[in-house]
Amino acid sequence: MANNTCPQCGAPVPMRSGGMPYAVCGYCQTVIAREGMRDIGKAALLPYDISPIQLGTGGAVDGARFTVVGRVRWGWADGAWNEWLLQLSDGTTRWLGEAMGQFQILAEREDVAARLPADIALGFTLDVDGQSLTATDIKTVTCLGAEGDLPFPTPADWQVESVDFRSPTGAALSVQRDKVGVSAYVGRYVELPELRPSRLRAVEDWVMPDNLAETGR
Amino acid sequence: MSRAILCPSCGGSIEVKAAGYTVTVACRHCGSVLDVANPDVAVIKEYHEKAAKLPLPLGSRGTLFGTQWEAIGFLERQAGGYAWGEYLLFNPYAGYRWLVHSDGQWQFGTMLTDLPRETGGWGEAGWRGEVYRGEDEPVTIATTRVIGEFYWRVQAGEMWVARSYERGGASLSREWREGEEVQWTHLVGVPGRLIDAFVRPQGPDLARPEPARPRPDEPRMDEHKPGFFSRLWQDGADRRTSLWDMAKLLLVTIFAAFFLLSALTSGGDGVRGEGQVTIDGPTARITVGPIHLARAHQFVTVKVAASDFTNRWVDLDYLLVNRATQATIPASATIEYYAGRDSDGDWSEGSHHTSTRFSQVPAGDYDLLVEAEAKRWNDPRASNYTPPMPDNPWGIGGVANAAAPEAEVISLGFLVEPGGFPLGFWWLIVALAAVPLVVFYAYRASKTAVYGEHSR
Repeated sequence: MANNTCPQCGAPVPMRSGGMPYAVCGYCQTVIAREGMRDIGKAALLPYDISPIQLGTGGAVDGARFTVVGRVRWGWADGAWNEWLLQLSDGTTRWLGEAMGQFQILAEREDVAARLPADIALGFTLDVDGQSLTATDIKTVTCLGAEGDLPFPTPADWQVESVDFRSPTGAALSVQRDKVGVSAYVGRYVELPELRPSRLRAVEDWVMPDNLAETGR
Repeated sequence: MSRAILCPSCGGSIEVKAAGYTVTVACRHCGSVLDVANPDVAVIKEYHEKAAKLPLPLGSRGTLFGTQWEAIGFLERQAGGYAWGEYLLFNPYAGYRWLVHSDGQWQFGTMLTDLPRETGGWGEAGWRGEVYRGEDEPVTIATTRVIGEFYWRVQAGEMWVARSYERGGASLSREWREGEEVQWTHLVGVPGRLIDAFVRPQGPDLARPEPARPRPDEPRMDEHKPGFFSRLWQDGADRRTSLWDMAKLLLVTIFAAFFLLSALTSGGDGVRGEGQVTIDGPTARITVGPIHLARAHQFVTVKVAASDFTNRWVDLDYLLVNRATQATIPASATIEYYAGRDSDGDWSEGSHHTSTRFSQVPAGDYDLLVEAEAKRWNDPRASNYTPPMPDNPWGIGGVANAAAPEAEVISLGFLVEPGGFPLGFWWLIVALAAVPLVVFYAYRASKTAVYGEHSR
């Protein structure tokens, strides 16, 4: 039987997704490599936020069921956002980006990452799936914390360069680049009810809207 | 749970409703703008003002389009001399919306992620298969005031360029500025009764501003120290010298300045109006007009006299509306009178009248729209203080209603006068006219010191 306890504090570290090589201990924020349950560092303590999403939230996207298995929170000088990792029933993953009360479904695209030049300036355009996307925002962001199962380790001082691309139709491309490599995520805006979510977080003082409380079962 | 912070500027407690999203908080106690993006709260811009009393107080909750919303932020914005309010609405499951309050009308705004396409040289915008027509030229909007919390780094003085497209009762608003992404908002009208149905927050510091009653240890207004001119008068009277001549000159100067300014600023007769407002009752709306203004630009003075009351205040919001252009000029005033007895004895503060001046009003026919709200102030130290009771909390008719006191009403009389001279200008002219006399007196005094002369 696999050992699923934190090497640092001994707390259970449940495996939410079979395929993720890293996990963050929910008690002591130790970043753990699943292989051998090794302690490889410390993630920052997640600050409180009022997100309606939580680990275990379910739903449907792109014709498959999903479960939220992990989260990374990013911050820069003028704000912060969440990226929730969705494990789909077809074995693939998506990210659910949550910023300023709006949601985006993002899929990692290695083919797009391979086409990116070494330097991206504001105004740089790229055609993705027949859409022309323009780089509109470039900033350095810091990992503010993480939880659950993740495809990469999330040390507390982790900084990446983040580039946002937009198209006139609302399609989005997010590029993240650090010393190790570059990743590209192609996204589209979604409304929370479209995902037919279940097990949303109950936010104190707020009634869950009917269209969210009754779906996804 | 929400995040609670202390304002580093005034020490007041602030609840951050949209924790994790909110970047900027404008303190509802003192108006200081705070950075809450990071764990250490930092003051961006310090203000020491009382938060405005808003038509929809922050913290109010109500249902629009099937979702409950809380008003968490307020922006006052202006374009071309016209001002309106925009409330930021929040629900953790539905995100943000806008509620625009303009000319007494309400609009519900949704930020668009599927962007409209502009065609025909900005004459039209297509969105979700429908065509919206461009109404006006683009206008520059300035944010003049911020209160509450926001998901971006908002600040007073922020400028955006906006263009509006209309279709039936709905509109699309395109806002943009250098270096930022274009923001599209879809706006639809909302009946005012839906906003009236919002539940206002309870508690004195949320719902109403502190009455401007002085503390007993502060000097009273009526015990003012003698001013510059009265001291001059006093000096003259003590010495009984040629200063008396100077005083006469001064008197002439004051009257000359008075007549000069009266001649410059007077014009036409006043227009009267009246109305009533119920204490702790609904907002009274009173219209005074038409007010005909003949000069290219002039002052307009609004004088208000109220019926007798004690420990009440009346907030007056004015809108001077040009009948032809619908251009508006906002202003506000307060009538307040408080009295009581404390360890220092009897005290009273305030008056039953007020005067407000609009400056640089262009010629035209105007109406003055007044929104009046009257509130009761209870002196917590007074022996006859009774804590406010909720009105019939269980909605039981009969006994509770019968015991309720009759609603107290304050009558208001308005006089709107074109002209009305600014007292500050008058004193300035008087002061300038007095300068040579003072110099002469100082010169004389120095001579006296040297030669030991006495005019006596």
